[in-house]
Amino acid sequence: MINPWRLAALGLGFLALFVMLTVRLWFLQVAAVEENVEKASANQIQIVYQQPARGEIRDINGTVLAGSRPSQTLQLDRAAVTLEQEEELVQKLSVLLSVEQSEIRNLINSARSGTVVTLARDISDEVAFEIQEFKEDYPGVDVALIPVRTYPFGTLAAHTLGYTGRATEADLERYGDRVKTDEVFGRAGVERQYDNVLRGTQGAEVFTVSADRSVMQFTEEVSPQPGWNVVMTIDLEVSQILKQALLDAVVLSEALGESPTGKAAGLVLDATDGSIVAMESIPDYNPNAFVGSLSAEEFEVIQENNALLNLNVRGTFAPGSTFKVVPYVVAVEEDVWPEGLDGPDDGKELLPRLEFPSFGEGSPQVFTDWNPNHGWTDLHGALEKSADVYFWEVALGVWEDNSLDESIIQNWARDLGYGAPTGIDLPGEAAGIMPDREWRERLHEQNPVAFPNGEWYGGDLMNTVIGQGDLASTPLQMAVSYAALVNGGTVWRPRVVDHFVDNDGNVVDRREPAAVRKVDIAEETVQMLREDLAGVVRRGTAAAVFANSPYRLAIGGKTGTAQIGAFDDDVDTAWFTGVAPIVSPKYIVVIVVEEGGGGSAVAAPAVRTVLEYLLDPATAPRRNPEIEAAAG
Amino acid sequence: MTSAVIRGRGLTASAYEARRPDFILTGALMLLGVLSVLMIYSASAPRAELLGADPAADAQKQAVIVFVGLVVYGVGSLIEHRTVHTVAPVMYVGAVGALMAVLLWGSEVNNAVSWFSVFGFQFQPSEWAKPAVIVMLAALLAPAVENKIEWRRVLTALGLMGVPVALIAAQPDLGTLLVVAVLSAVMLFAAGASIRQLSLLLGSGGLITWFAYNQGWLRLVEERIDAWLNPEQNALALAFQPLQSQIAIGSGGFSGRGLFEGTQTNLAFIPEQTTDFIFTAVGEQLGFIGGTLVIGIYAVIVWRLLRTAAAAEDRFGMLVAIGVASMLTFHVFVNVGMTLGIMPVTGIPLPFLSAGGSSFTAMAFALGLTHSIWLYRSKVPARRPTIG
Repeated sequence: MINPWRLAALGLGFLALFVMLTVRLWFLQVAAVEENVEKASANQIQIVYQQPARGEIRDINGTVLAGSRPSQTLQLDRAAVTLEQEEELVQKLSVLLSVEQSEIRNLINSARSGTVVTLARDISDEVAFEIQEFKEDYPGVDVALIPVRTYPFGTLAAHTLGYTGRATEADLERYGDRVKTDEVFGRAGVERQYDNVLRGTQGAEVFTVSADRSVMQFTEEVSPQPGWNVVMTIDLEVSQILKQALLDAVVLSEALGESPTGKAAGLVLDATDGSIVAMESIPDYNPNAFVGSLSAEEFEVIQENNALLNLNVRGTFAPGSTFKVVPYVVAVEEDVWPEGLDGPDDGKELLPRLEFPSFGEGSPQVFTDWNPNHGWTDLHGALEKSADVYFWEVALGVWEDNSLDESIIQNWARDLGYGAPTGIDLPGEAAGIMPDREWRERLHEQNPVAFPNGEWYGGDLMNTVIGQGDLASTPLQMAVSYAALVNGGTVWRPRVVDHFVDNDGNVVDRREPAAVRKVDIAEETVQMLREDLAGVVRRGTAAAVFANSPYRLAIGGKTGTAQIGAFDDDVDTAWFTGVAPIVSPKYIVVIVVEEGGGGSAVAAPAVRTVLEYLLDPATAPRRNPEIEAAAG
Repeated sequence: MTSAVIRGRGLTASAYEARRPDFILTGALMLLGVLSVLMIYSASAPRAELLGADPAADAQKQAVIVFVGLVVYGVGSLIEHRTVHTVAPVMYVGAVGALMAVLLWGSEVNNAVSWFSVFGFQFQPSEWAKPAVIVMLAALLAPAVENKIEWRRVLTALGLMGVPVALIAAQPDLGTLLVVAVLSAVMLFAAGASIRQLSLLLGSGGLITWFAYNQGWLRLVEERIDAWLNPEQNALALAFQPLQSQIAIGSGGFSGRGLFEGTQTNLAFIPEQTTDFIFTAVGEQLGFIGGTLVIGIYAVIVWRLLRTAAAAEDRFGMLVAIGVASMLTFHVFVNVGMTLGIMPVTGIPLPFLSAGGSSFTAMAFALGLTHSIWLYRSKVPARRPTIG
């Protein structure tokens, strides 16, 4: 069949090839291993990593909110100069740049020896000219055009965008030699959350270097892959309106004789898919400030004001009456009603006060409604007029009905998104607090000194249902829960990023809307709640604010005025949550003004401006005329 | 008469009765499959993690490929090689058609048009062209007689080889081209071409290459070979991979740095490490021991294939086994040789180890066919030539 000698020849030939490979492998890995180690240590091949261009961050319409601009940067290659030369350079550069010698020295010392240090950014053309003209006077110094992060709209959407900064110790540990001094890392917001995506992939330049470390050959090998551009769900126009509304609300609050802390937060959530249309927080900061070297004082000012904090996701506040929609839904869905009532349309004359059993040491506690004259009230009226007593009686019903879980209201609230991070794609989200017996006992067990009270009383539940006491919510949680209540039960995982685009404009990835869970609420209940939220705007606590709004019939909402501290009734945090269009809700707008006063007086006008703009961007006023007048 | 027919049938049936499978061959293939997933994980996970991607994604994909490949191997083993013999022209025409299609509609990767997508799967026809050429040449050369092959048949063989080679050259895919040329030459040799014929072929092949070189048609090859001969002085664009690869393998030493411990593999740039340069991951992490083991597994497979050639029931089977053996050997030699710096860089995968579905399944199919030849081998020892 096959001639034996031919087969033998083939077998030997194949064997020879395998033997050659093995011998070569032996040579590389065993015989020449010392030579290889030497080769490696002599660094015959040196790799210099190249930074890819950082991706842009854009708003939903494609407007660039974070991009890059070239900056004339003064750099010193420490490998090219001796220590004496360095000392000389410090003196010369100090004169040239008119900065303290110590400042330059600190910069140089902050970098590892043998690396390239950035000495100054955005230097003038004159300085650049001087350096390049008299090169020999400035050994190792060069002017490079380095891309620098820029935020064209400054403070607008700053908390959502975040900012970038130089490598920290942790970054150096993670990336080692691959970190260049002028490389930036996302430090907050989207810049941090999507740092991996925005950064792109490093490229590498490869050199062969001889024993004296002079470069013999140089070729670019792997070109850096620019990062993806991030397209947010944020709308710049809406953000502008919202930011102005927040600033105006604080001014209005002051004009009304309140003393707001200056902290306020607001956001617009799309109830149909969980995307954040706008998110603003004050006090704010300008992310451009972090691009250059921020002075210690500047940073301290920012720190002291807590200006870096995105209050929408990191600030927790007592939600006050805006929370009442939760006991509202529990009453209907779990069939718990005030004494003597049976159903949402069944009403009675409300007492101005309610005595609740067992608060503290078993003594009854008397709760007084903020308004003693609610009159005849059913569930609809209770929400419209924000009647505390009605919801206290619902709480009492839960408390006294042994067939019901004592924490049923809190459980509903947790299902709607309170008490745990919503899972938004922004770093550092706060969980808020949804207190109940178990929570109280756990705190006490963990730290009996700080939390001496390990008991849970009926009074605690009373406080909880009207959004007071230990209950704390972020504005984002508030928005997510309202979205779920009016959209039929879908609790969205909110998102600020919609998709990613490469440099050729191709959509490379998407963040699809994602629901955390679906809460089971009857359609009639949802419908009823929408009507009653509309009632708040038409005849309830927010009626005065919306009285002359051409859009009042399309808007629903709920006011909230949360008392800060049990004994000081004068300090209130103002909330308003608006929903529009109320027949098929799309936008949820939440605004909170810390210690700003009444929710209807301070927060509602701000929400009105934003909602009107959302409903009719073409003709609606971009500022509320009343607020504009107050703001001057 | 009736009894003769029955006896004849019975004889036929027993002659083609499937025999004990080759567990060593099958085991070696499975071992390479497992190693492939491990090595691809080690070479892709750290980088993927750094980029925030799923670190196990590449390895998971390869695990699926290995599974599919083993199924293909099983299917190939079940196909009786006489069936293959009859459909050889169909396979060949199909492969040539696919090669034409890829030139027309394929997508360009690394300056070569060798891929196209079918229902979302990346498909590389040149990988399947190799087994098709083997089967076609085997069918053509099966009737020939030792040392008495007519020139017409030799030239037909050259023509049959030439068409896919030209199409592959147009992509261009130098590595695959070389493999097809070499396996064709080996098959001619095994089929019994005379020394005179072989030397004439070799001589004219050399002349053509020399001519093409002088005409500057081989600039790409020239650069590669120059980079290979003078790596340190050469533009590092071309010598970068092999130099990094050798440093990585060299740093593995005798026993390696340990699985998932290779720094070169994990952090340094060895482009295409999960595909063409997968052997660097083996060398760095598993050292000389692991490297020798892998080369040894290939040697064992080739040994089993040559044994199959010797035991084959007919000349077609013998020629297919020789063709597959030479294809595998040359693949391994060119690929591993490239990572060790003794061969120029040509983009061909390491069979059964490199990431990629087309290569694994096509190779597994070829191996399966050969396994089938073993399963249906001649039962009569007298008809089997002795080896060694």
